[in-house]
Amino acid sequence: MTGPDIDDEFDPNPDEEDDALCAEYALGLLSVEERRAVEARLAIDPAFRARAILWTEDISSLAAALPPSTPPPAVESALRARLFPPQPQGWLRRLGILPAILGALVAGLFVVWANQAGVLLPDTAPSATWQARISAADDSLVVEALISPAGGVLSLTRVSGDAAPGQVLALWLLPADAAPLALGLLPETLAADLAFPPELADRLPGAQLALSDEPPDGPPGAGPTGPLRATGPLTPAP
Amino acid sequence: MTSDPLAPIIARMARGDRAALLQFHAAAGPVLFAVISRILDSPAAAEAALLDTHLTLWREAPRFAATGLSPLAWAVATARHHAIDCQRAQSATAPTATALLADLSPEPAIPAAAPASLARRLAALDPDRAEAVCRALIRGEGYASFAARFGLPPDGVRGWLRPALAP
Repeated sequence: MTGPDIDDEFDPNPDEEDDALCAEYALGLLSVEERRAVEARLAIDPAFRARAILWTEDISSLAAALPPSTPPPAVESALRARLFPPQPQGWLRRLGILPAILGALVAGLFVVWANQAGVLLPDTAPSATWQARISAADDSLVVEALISPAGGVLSLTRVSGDAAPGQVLALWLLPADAAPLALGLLPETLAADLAFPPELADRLPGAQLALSDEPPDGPPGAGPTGPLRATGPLTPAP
Repeated sequence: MTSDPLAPIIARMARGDRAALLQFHAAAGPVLFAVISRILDSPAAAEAALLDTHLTLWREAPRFAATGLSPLAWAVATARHHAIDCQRAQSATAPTATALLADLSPEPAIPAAAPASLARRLAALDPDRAEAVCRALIRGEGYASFAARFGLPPDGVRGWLRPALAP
């Protein structure tokens, strides 16, 4: 005879036996195999499940009464890295700020030369920056956008929400009087820059930005496939 | 449980909202880290276990409602089970270090603010069994540890504690 058989004979009350098993389960005293067996039974035995819920609530509320302890920031960094993996970097990014420094140098030399030669025209329209908070009515999806048409850059920051499972988010420009124009798919990162076609700059006043769920390969047609999940008007950025 | 601030965050996690998991970490991380840190002595192991717990909760969020548990009990139970698994896996390789650390740390006390029925039950137990339940609850210790600590035969320790759990 083995140990568990003796235990069964000593304990004629199956309710008490179940209660002790649930207590062991909630306390974490069971072996991995025993725990799997309990979890399998939870799915099919409502009375047993109710008993286990009481014990788990009990044990968890006792454990949660410990003084809270703030986890090190490394945990959140690791979590962010898992949730929003960095984009593979192109050759331009691997160069770091070198292109920017070279660009600034060339531009500086150009300005010096232009001033001397009187080439620069008086200021034309300043290169405005536009912003939008693209949000669903219930804030279940919020993305902030900043467009610098002159720089050809559209910066996006995810605030909350995500694409439907198996889908990706697509960004659209909704001009006041024209069909939606595709601006691209949102990368998986928390913040991302998309290229903004400079020729769309004059479509920005009065326009809105919008997000839709699309298949992973992008929208099959010219416009959004599904309903627009979030919209936001573009306003001049300060 | 509709007033629980964690409930809407878990609902968003279930819909695949990744930003919601960061909010969950901000809201529940300190409680979960406190629970895990008592069970795993190494800070690095505790951090890894918290990250694993978050990722498990992220995967399990769509099935949260079906568990019938409150948000905090669901999260704490997941964290405890995972940390205890990590601890058993560690102590299989380094039993002496774990036993030494357990001896050095102060005896776990019953949380004063315990509203639960187990706290009343503990008060009625003899000191050894009450300490064993507290050690299981807070430090995640198991039957093997109790056998060594209280000088009981390994195959008798379960029968010693079980009646105390469900009298």
